[in-house]
Amino acid sequence: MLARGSKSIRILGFRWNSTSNASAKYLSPAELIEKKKADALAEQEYKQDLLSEKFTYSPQILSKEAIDPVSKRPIPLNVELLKYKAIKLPKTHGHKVASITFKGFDPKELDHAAEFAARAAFYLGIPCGEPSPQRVQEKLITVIRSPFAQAKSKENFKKYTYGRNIVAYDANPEVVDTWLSFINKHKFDDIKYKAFVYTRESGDFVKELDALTAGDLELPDSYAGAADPVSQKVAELLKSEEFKKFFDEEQPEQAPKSEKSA
Amino acid sequence: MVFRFPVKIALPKHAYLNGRVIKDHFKRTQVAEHEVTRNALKYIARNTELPARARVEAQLQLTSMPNYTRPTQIVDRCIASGNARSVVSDFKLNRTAFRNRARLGQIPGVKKASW
Repeated sequence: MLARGSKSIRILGFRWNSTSNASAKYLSPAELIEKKKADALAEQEYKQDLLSEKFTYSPQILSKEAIDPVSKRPIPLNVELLKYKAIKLPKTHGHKVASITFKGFDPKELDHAAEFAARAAFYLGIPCGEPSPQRVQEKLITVIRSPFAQAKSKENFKKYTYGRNIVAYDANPEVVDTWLSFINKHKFDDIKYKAFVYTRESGDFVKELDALTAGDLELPDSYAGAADPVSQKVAELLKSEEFKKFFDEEQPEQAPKSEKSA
Repeated sequence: MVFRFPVKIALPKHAYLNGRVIKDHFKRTQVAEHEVTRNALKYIARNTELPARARVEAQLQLTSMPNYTRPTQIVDRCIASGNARSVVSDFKLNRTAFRNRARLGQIPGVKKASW
């Protein structure tokens, strides 16, 4: 260890000697300015060299064949990208817009589903975080090995439920809707999806709510025909002949009462 | 042969069948069918703002409904053996059916626990 350390120090010293004056450990302001200017010039020259020289575009890719043997066409870039980690877009404001949780029994399948969502987010232009694992839920199930006399001998099993979570930032509600419906369209059978959508309101949101009238409030289309069947049945029953008579009876009873009190 | 149940039902698929399973299945279909009516009658019977006689009438109608329309009549049964005892509700399996399958690794997410 010691020998290695001394060697590196010597190398460092050598470099120092080559770049600047050996005597000057610290540069004077004038020298520093000169050095900076020289560095800038060198950088400029380097950049110009890069631009003047013609270079061929040859990206390093993982797939061995440039042309797909089945379709006999070049492998599309988005297909090639499946071999890499999902690309993340940078956040613009960092406002949380939506988060999806995936729950299932197979962690590999969960990773697959979460990555699919992350890739979909990239192609829709939604900045989103990496799929993060959630705490594994364990449930203990104890059964007896044998009935009655040997019922004291038990066997324990555990049900493990794994989870992943993905958070999306800075996207329009319409884009988020598209993203969520696309994920829903291509959902995995064995995975439970749960999405939370966050919205931001202005500071005077309470005033806006107060100003609303009953006519302004409209339920989304998805609520159409979702009237409570029990309340409908109650109304139907109370209008039926069997129940109507009790209401008819009560009214004349109430009328004399009110006369008495008057 | 006379059909055993007062209302004709389709037999359950993908489950072990015996008389008790079919009986329970019959109750399940009938409870689902009468759920709205029962809840509506319960609402009328318990609503103190309604006339007392209407509430009594609702209570009478509730009690006169057949036993098989009550949700409490439904019992969890094992779908592999039809047994009603020690059913693991997560998997709808009896303890024996569950243990055999779990040991073979046929139930997703379930492993032998050791600590």
